[in-house]
Amino acid sequence: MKLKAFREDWSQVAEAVRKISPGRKPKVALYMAGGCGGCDLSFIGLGERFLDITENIDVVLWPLIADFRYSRVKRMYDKTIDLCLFNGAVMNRGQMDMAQILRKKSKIITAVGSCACMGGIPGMLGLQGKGKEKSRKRVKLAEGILPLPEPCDFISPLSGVIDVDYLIPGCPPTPSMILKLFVSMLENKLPPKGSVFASGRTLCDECERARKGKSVKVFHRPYEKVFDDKVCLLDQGLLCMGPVTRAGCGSQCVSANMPCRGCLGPAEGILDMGGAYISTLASIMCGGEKTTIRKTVESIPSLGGTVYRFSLSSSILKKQRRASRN
Amino acid sequence: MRKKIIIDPVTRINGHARITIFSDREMGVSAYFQAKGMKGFEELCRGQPSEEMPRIISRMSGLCSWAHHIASVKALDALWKTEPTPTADKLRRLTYHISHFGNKLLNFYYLNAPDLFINPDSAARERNLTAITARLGRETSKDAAENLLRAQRILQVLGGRAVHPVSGLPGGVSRGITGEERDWVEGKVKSFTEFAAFTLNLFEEIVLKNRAYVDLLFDEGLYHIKTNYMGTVDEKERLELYDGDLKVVDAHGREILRFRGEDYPQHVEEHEESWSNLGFSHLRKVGWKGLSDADRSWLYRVGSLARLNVAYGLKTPQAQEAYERMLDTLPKPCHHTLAFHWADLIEMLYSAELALELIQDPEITDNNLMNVPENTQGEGVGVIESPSGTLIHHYVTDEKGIVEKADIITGSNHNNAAICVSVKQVADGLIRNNNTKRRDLNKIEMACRAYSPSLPRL
Amino acid sequence: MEEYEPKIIVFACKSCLPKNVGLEEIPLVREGCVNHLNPKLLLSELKKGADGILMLCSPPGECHSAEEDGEAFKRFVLLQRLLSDLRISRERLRFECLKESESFGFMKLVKEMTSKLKSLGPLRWENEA
Repeated sequence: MKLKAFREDWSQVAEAVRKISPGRKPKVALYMAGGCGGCDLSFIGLGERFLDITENIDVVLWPLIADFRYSRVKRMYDKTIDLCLFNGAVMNRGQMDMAQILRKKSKIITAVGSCACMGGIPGMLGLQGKGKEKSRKRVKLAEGILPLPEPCDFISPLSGVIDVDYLIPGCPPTPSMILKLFVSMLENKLPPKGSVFASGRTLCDECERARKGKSVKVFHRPYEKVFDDKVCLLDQGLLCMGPVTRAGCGSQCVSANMPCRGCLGPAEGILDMGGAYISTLASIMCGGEKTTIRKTVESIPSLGGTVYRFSLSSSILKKQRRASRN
Repeated sequence: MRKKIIIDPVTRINGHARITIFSDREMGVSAYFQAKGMKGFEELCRGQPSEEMPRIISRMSGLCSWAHHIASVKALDALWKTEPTPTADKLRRLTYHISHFGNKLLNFYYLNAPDLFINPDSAARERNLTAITARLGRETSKDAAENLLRAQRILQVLGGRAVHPVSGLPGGVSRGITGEERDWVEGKVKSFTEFAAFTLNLFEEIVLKNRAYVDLLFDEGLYHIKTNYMGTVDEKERLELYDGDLKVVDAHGREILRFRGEDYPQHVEEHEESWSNLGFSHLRKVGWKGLSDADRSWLYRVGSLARLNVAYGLKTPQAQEAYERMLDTLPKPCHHTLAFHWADLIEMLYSAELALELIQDPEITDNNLMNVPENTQGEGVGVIESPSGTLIHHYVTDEKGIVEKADIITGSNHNNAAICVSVKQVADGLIRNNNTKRRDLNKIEMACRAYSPSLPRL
Repeated sequence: MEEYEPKIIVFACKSCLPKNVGLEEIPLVREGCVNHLNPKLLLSELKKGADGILMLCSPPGECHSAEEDGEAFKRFVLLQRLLSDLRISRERLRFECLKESESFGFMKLVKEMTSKLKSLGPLRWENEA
């Protein structure tokens, strides 16, 4: 670990916020659908920079921090909100409705975190097979009726429901990645619509470990031994998703000597992380007899759950076309 | 005529919940606390390698991700019939206590600050971060923010990531700490102990001298239920956040149950209600008696106040002194729900002091990080005292260590019944003549926030 | 209700396809050497409605892209494993090496596969056991 990675220069935020003309604070909404709160914590983890930003924006919705209810947003005129940060996968009817309302009321919507960008870990439910039971919509009690959340048929990234302007992937994105969005907005230098606030290159392009180019005969599990912290993890037989994953997180997991699991999503040009990773595995696997190849593949404890850990809901097989509202 | 009041979403908690209040001149007031988080997180673990669990299951909560990670790793140790090396154990404890400190800081200065520092009766637009900064002063707000940042940075270095760490493995951790890093961390942890002590002082100076708040704190009609309490203690009955015996005391403080975490199925079971996604854990010994007013003696609570009710002392000097100060003012066991916030701060200081002891331990920079495991025994349980209460992870796997079943019981599961009863108590106390004032609704939410529930995924 | 006719997609290069088979008798073909097969193409076909996939390869040593001979089988095994983890039966994916002129072998293969896919049912992958 290099300590220098943590002496990042965040002074540019202070500069940017000083340039905002007084009296016009951008209206910002932060909403969590089927998320866990990690993306919010990452934002708050900016420390004093978090205070700098929040002192210069008008938070109109943020249930974690402020007491405004959804009705406040519903009453607004369209395009009142300058920036909406939406985290969490869309998993129930209420969240789908909120996504559509926020789209109408916001000039810019950013999908924050792997769940909103790709479906995230909740998408792993798709590996289990669908349950047949019909979920109830409400419960009748002696005093009255209580509504229940209506789960959607599929777990969906935000783009499965509305048009999304920007993406900040990661589970959660690092504070720096979220900071970049705010600095761009405050300086009026937002990139073209559709941009991702991470590198287009792969993690391997930025990883400093030595490549040995070994052929792998057996894949290992992370507990099986102490792995060399200077040599490529894939070369050592661990399923590191680096070759197909975006860079931008600072190679955090690999720095802790654990294989990347792809939370920043597919690098530029890759549509399906699982499919792309198959090509990677095929190229590093030993060739030879059919039985040897089969044995090598069987040494992987869970292929689907590893390569699609964060992206199953946006994979080729599971991705849903945007449903029309009815 | 029956009235229905809906509070949706409940704000300043981790996750999604709704409170529905029915008020009727004849039938009186009833209130329902509905947890709306995603169900099925335990199911999605099936078929996954058990060593991936610490990285998957932490996604149950972003704010409590370290608690889940460590409980998961402890379950893996049991599952794989191994123990961490002494250094790995110390690193896990160190990171756990730092994350606990950070979580308590977040809870106090961000989630609950509007209720503690700004009038709980004020309008929503007045209860915001700017108002808190104005009340506390920019310097204090900045210190809070920077201490949280420091905690996150340490956790990122040692755990791979600040939120959803990766370094836990059965038998140890994947990453150690160098001498240079050790010095860097020690400086920050010293500032944590100072800041935690400062925060307790701030609490006494501002919150405990605010007549309006203190009236609420001691109001036995609004924020007071006599329950049993569960927490973890060491062999000297001192508060344990990391590892120890699970102990339950009754409403008078007498011990009624003691067990090791792995025996939890004999003592804890879960009840479901159709209107909440969050299960209601309860003690087998006492049974499930329903949420009506008739009998509340069967309820139990977990979390900071519960832990302090169960323990007889703390291991570190400043936290012990703070605990004794609290006992000068509050009874023991303390049934005042809002006292959870005070107990939180004592634990914040406790965590900081324990982290300081660990970072100063010479063994912490050792390179021996892993006792590599060989095979599984098919089952493992890991328990930790998370910020929201006793957290239990239980995995059943096949002979290759692939998960067949996962059972997670969170602090919120244990507290669910108590939260429902607390919310109803406040609603009942504030609604007069079928009339609810808008400004009272926040006070109803405060009954829920005191428990620091963790509800995004259930 | 329509009778279920399994849709099979064949991935093969020109030289691996049998020569003397009528167009209407062979299932849909995606041309290209399977040693270079981009897995996303195969996944797309399954998404678009294929019930089964057949990968055809030259016998070992006879492939025109000699240096990547053997790559195809690796991809096949990995894809089979991936689909199986996604609850899609391994038997929906098949890999065979056919001699260039073996049209009879090819038709037999297609018939076998059709029969197997009929017994498995159409691929509605959410419901596969």
